[in-house]
Amino acid sequence: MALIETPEGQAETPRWRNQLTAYGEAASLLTEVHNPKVLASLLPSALRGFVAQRGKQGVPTLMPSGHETFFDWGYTADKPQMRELYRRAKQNQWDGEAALDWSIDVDPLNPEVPLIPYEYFASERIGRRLGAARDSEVDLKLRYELTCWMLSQFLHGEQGAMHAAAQVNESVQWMDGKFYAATQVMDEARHVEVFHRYLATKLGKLYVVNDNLFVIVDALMHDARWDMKFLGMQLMIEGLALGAFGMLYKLTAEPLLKSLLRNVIQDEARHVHFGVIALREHYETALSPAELRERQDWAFEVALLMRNRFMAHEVYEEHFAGACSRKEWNELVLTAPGMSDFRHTMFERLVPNLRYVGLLDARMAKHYADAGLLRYAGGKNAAELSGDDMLAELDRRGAAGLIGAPAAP
Amino acid sequence: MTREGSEVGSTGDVLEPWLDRLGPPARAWLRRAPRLLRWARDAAMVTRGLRAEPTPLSRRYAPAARGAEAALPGERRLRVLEVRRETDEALSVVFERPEGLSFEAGQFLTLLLPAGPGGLVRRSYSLSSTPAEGEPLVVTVKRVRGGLGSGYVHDRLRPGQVVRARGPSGAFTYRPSGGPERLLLVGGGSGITPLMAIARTALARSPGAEVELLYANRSAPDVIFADALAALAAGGRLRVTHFLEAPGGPLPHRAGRVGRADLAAALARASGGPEPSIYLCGPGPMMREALAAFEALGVPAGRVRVEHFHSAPGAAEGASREPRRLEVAGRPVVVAPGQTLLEAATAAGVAMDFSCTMGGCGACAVRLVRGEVVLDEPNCLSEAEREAGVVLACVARPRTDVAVEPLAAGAAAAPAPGGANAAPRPGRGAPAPGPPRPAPEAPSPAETR
Repeated sequence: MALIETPEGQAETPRWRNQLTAYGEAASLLTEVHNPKVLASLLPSALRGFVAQRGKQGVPTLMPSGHETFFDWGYTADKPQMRELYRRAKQNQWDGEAALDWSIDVDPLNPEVPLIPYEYFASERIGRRLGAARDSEVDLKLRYELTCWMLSQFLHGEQGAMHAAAQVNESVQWMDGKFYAATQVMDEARHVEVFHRYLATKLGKLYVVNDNLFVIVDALMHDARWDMKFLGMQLMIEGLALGAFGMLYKLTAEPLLKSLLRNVIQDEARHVHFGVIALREHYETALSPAELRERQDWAFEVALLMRNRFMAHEVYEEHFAGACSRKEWNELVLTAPGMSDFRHTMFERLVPNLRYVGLLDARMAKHYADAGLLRYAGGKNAAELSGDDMLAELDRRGAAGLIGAPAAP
Repeated sequence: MTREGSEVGSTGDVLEPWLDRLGPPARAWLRRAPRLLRWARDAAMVTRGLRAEPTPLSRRYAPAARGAEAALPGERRLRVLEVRRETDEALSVVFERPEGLSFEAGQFLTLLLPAGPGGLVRRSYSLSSTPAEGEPLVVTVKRVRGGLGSGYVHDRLRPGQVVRARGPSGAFTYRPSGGPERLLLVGGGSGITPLMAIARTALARSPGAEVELLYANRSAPDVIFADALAALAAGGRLRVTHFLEAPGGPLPHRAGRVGRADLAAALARASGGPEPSIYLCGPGPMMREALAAFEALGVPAGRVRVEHFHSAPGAAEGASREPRRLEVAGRPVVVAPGQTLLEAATAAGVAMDFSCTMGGCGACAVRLVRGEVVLDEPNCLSEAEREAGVVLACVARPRTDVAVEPLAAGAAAAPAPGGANAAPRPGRGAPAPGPPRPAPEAPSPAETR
């Protein structure tokens, strides 16, 4: 049942028009991709995600992966940093059953203990447009639905991360890396466990996977190269997740969700860390310039794909399709304070990491600047700086430790 | 879940409408052709898209054992059996008790009422009924002038209506010990409701229980449950003393409020036997007076159980509520109340290392050279680091003026990969010490708004 019905005297936006907008959004993704190789790798995934909507067919999905399992009969232990991360990961396992107080009664519509604050989405303007006055039932239900949607996407992303970590465990060539990846499989399983339990027993609702998320996960599952899985999962999706988790952690007043996110985030920080050291090593030593360029372009295109594409369209289609057009919804979401905060947090972490592993060099800086992504990491507006200036600024801030990334050694 | 393709016509399958029309042989054949099924599903999604038919976007988990209507976990639908007047200002609402519902004497229900400008207010009301099997759920609601919740209950609620509710919940509870026991109950106004449930449970379930109730009201017409209390007292194991600020009327009473002497006398009556369990519930001023009196009488605060409401404290309880001065390697910075050291320093343009900002990676570890801070727990600091005065700037809030300095290289854990300073040691085991469970928003029986 829709949260908001079409206001009287106003014609309902025809669904076909919204559907056209949706296809248009998918097509625009492809026009935004400039590198033909990246386009070729993303296109099948885009067809499966946007057109066939494999994640929404109501049945499990099978995703083949062509990766090879790398056996090391010599059990070479020559990656002390990875061995150290493995040791820490073992020591810091926690039990989702025991570590969280599941007896807490979560009252999702209680304005005194809000899941997310009013300001996250329903700024005054949006509130007026959708009739969602602060703490009204519509407002509280909208916040509830958005939380269900976000946590559902976290859950789907964590499932992808679990499978990707397992594949990395098989295909990575360092024994220390395999050990570490095994702990990450366990971490991700625990995250799937706790997110699902929270959704099932506390919120009572699960949204299907978002098309954009599906496309990214599908692309890196199909890719046989371990470093692509790693880049996609450890840096891009984990980076996105870390930003989203951190934001929700800071905003929610619900104590069980807060402690759940706190525990999850501490694992995630370790995952990104490992992704960064493993990829830097690989990109510095094992790739030809052409191969490196492909990764650079791929990371950039996927960053674009993630930038403005998580707009809770599933919430819109279920609840607000009658009340406003999809276009209008996009604008409402993109200008919501919570969303811009989210994008900021996400790219503040992602962009410096890409730079650290060598995927944001002088050639790429211009593209990032054109896409408005450099400003997420830099202090000044990207338009005011040349690529070199921005890199210099990044280096300065990186050296000063102002950017949330591992500082260059 | 079964594997894709082998599941034919499962609930939610986009092909369900077609597959339902096929006979068993065709379905069995299709089960052996997963690729064909996949193409068919892809095609079905495309035609759906072109015809703008909505796809399933979400699903609800079956709200088990809560009634099919309940929309959210933990929520119940309660049918009103009866609305009964208790006094001019108070009425009791009797709800049908859902099968299998158990609770403890003294707990409250939270009603989600369709009232107020937002169309939803929630109010917590203590149950006056006992957990005994077969007994319906009863809350007693006093009208609050201008109150949205009590106004709705008084003016709109009728038998047969269904109300959304959560609970019963609350820790102001009584469990019969089984042996001889004494209870001292001190109540005011509609604070009688949980005490009534406790007294009735004690008398019915604990043959050795003796109960004394001191019950304060403004005047005789305000007294809730006067007849029921008199009937219970006739059994000989309950002693009731009414206190009225405006004396008068046929009800035996003492004039004025419950004072220290009254509490002392009640404690004296209880002496000699098992130590009395004390329960206190009423309006704020009365509770404060009674608690102070108990303390003066040498009863430790921990021994008095009170029904109260608490607002959730912030993550960093104990942090300064005043701005504090922070010195980072000699540079002064002002830390606003609630700010972390890292937030204050970076806002002031003082560079500090950090990474996860969650207390998980140790990148922001610094040494505290002066003052005190409060850290969010759990975090990745080891005992040794704590003893060495290492704190995490990202989760540290000052209690006093403080000074910190960077860790000397190698002073803490070995440098972590990627430049972080200390070993990540995410908290495990213990949940974050965040706010306690959601509490009733109002002192249980008395509506505050």
